[in-house]
Parts: sequence; C-alpha cells; structure tokens
Amino acid sequence: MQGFKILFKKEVWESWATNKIFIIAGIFLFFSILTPFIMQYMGDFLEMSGIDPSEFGWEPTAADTIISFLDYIILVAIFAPAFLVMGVVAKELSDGITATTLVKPVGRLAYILSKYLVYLSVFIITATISAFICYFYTVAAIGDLDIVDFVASLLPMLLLLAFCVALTLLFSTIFKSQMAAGGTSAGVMFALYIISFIPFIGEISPFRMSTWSHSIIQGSQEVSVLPLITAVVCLFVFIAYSISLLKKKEI
Amino acid sequence: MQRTDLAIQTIGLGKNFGAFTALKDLNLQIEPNSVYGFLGPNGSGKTTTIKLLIGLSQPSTGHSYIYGVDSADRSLQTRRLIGYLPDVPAFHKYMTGLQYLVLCGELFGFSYDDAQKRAYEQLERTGLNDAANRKTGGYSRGMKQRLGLAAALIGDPKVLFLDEPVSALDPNGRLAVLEIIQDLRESKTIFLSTHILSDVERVCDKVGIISEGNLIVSQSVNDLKKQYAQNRFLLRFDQDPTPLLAQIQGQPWCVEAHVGKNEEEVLTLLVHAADETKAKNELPQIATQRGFTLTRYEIVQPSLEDIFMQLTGAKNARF
Repeated sequence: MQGFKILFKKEVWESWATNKIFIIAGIFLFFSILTPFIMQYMGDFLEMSGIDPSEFGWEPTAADTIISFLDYIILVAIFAPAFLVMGVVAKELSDGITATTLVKPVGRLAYILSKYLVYLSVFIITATISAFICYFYTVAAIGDLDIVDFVASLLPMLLLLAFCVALTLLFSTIFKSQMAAGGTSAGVMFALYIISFIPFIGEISPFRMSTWSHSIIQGSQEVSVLPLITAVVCLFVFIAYSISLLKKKEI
Repeated sequence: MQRTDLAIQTIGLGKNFGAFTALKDLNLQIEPNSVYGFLGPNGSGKTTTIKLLIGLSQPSTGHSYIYGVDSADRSLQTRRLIGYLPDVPAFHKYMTGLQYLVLCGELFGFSYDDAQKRAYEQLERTGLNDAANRKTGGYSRGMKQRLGLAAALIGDPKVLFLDEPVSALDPNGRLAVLEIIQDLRESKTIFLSTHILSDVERVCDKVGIISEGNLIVSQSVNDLKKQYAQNRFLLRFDQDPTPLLAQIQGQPWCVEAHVGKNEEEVLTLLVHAADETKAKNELPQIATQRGFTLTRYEIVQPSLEDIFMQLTGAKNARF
C-alpha cells in the first residue's frame, strides 16, 4: 500500500485543520452529558411544572439512560458521517486534488483506506470516550450498571458507525458533488433505519443492531446475527466497491 | 510495438465517451529530452490525451507508453517517471506551499528531510520562496500555477506533462515559467499543452496540432513552417496602397489581395499569389508604374498561429 502512511497522516491533519474532529467530538460529548443530565433532573423539571412525576412512573434507571444515549448515537450515525465525510472523496474529485494525488506513486487502495480508517477512528474514538463519560456520569448520578454490559452494548453501535462511515465514503466516491453524496447517504441511512422497524425484513437492516444493543443492557445474552452479518459484509463491500469505482473512474 | 527509447509513445490511442469520440487513433513518438507542444482549440482532446498518457483515464482503443511502460497499467513505476501540472491546479487550503510540497515529496517516497530539501529547491526555482509559509488558500491563481509546477517537479520526473502551464500568469510569470521549461529540456521530456502559440514557437522542438480528436500534424516547428509556407507577400508604401488593389487582383497569378493594418497601424498590402516567381517580379513593377514608392517588401513566413488557424479550419488571421 504505497503512500498509505503519508496519506493517513494527511487525513488526520485535514480532519484536525478543518475542525471535523472537534465537531464530531462535540456532538458526542453533547449527548453524553445531556442524556444523564436530563434523566437526572427530568423529575425536578416536571415537578417545577406542577406535574407529579410518579403519575407517569418516572423513575429513570441507569439502563434507561444508557439506552437513551445509544439512541442518540443512532441519530448521530445517520447524519454526522453523511455531512462530515461526504466531501472526503467527492470534493477532492471535483477540485482535481484526486488527480494530482493519484498521478503520484500512490495506490487507489491506500487513497480510499486512509480516508476510511481516519474517519472511522475519529468516530469510534470520540464515540467511545463520550460513551464512557455518559456511563460514569450515569453511575454517579442515577445508579449502578455493569460495565461489561455497557461495553458489550456499545460495540454494536460502534459497528453501526463503521457501517455508516463506509456507506458515506462509497457515495462520496460515486458522486462528484459532495452535497449529492451527503444527501444520498443520509437518505439511504434514514431509509435503513425506518426499515429496521419492519418485521422480518427489518432483521437485515444494520440499524436493527440498536435493538440488540438495548437488549444487552437489559441483560439479554442473545446475539442478533443477521444485522451483524449485514453490517460487516456491507462494510467490506462498500470499501471494496469504492476502491473499484475509483479504479474505473475518469478522474 | 512499444519502444523503450521513446519518452512518450502512443499507438492508435482513442477515447470515446458514449457516442462521442474525444480522441481518435492518436499515434505519437516523442524523443527523450525534448519539448513537445500540443496545440488545439478548446474541446479538441488535449486534456483527454494528457489524462490518458498519465493513466488517469483508460483508453477505449490503443495504447500509450512512457519509456515503454503502458500508462494504462498505472504502475508505480510509470508514476515515478512522470510529473503533472493540471490546467487549474488545486491544493489543500489549510496547508502552506512548503507543507504541500513536502507532502508531495513524501508521496514519492522521500524522507521528510529530503522532501523538505527538495521543496525548498522547487520553491526557489518557481519564485515562491517568499510565499513558502503562506496557506495555499491565499495564493493567487498565478502562484497556484507555479506551486503546481513545483509539485510536478518534486519527484524529479523524466517526463513532465504541463496542461496550460502559463494560462494564468502575468507576462513576467510567463517568462519565468518558459525559462524554467528551457532549463529543464536538457534533462526532461516536456509535453506542453497550450493555447499561447508564441510560447510554443519559443520553447518547443516539435509540435502536434489536434482538432476534434484527430491529430492533424506532428512535426518540428521549422518543418511545419516550411511545409505550410505559401506565396504570401507583404508590401508597404509611403502612402495608402488601396488604389493598387484592383490592378493586383486582376493579375492571373493573384489568389487574394487586400489592404490591412499591421500592429503599428500602418497600412499594408498583403498578396497571396499562385505563382511565386511571377508575383515576386511583377508586384514591384506594378507599384512603380503607378507611382508608388515601396518602403518594405517581403515574403511572409507563416507564423505558427497562421498554420494553426489554417489546419484547425478557423479563419486565417492575416487573410
């Protein structure tokens, strides 16, 4: 993979220089603090509004808080990669930067993989750190939760993020317009999210991993094989197809 | 058959975009350490040809070779041999010129220190020393073109592809780039696509003219001028030569004659003759008989621009 190390370094630099790292970290951090905060004080807010929380059975648990945070990760997974990764190939293609890069002794595999791995790392690292912040806040303010269950519930969501980044990268390679790439990937991911609620057919949507994630938190040992397989297979197919497309593309 | 002694070779190279043929059966042979000017109107297939030669586009027919290696294979070996300056170079706006060049050097496999040394050399060569630590987002178009040239040179390529390298430069910048090209011709093969014909005349050893995807001609500038030299005469008088026009047009050897103004706004009689000898003898006689005093009389050598206009079907600039 000629040039991979240099391109990887360049992508890290770019995500830093264009503030994408901070935007992604900021979004996750926001939800990691907001979720337990709301859960902790919602009862007080309701009381201040003259509503008795016990009438609604409002007794949030640590599991409820983490489930709520994981749901926010889905929201972030649909929109954040679409709007932050949409231009990584498309913009360079339309600017002509791809042409001047690929005319050098650099492989297309290295070009695509460096982009994917940098943005994957940014999403995974910031989501994991934020999730732990959320976990420790929850344990301190709301109640105890087994850390093993928490980590296990987080893993499917991280895989979902990896899937979403790969999907956006694919559309970014297909389109020369970054808006088209971002819009299409957000649309496809939202459609897959909706499909995940449909019985039977929804089983294959990677977004069904959220149900799996919820059940882990609630103590279930069951593994949702179908969405797991779909996510992993699609992820590899998307990356391989992006590389293949770039090989055939008129740059 | 591919030849390893040629810097650039194409055999029946063609490119179709759906039903549209952008390039048809291109056969080129470019010797090492020469400057080849590639001319053609907009949309004639110049950029398509360059992209095929550097492996950014796949040919529909034929092959192209850089020192005998098929460029369609996109081997790392080929890419080490070439440098490319696109017509509108673009850069990472958050990088300085120096940082961008170091990145390019590292992509060629040089260590950071080597890449930085090379970057400074190319910044010096392209006159961008003072802007080395400025972000490329703040560069003017001319500066971007010079940075693009520096980036194309950073890997010390044997073959350099320059797509309209001086189009965005002011006269001084243009002159500087042409001087760089002159310096490089000793050690590199340069494939230069441009619209500025005077630049081609100045730096190119050989020229190819392409129109609607077809290579019309490919030969040395001097041979081209000889081949397309026509019996054209320029006559200047100490008065308006318009009264002579009818008589000259009436001569059997006259193909065309008209009065025009040259660059200094001086009225000049231009004559295109079918028979050079007769015209050469009779034109001064006619003028003298009518009482006109000749102040200048010459057989016009066609400029590259004339030939270009003639070959690409455009209206001739002088006639």
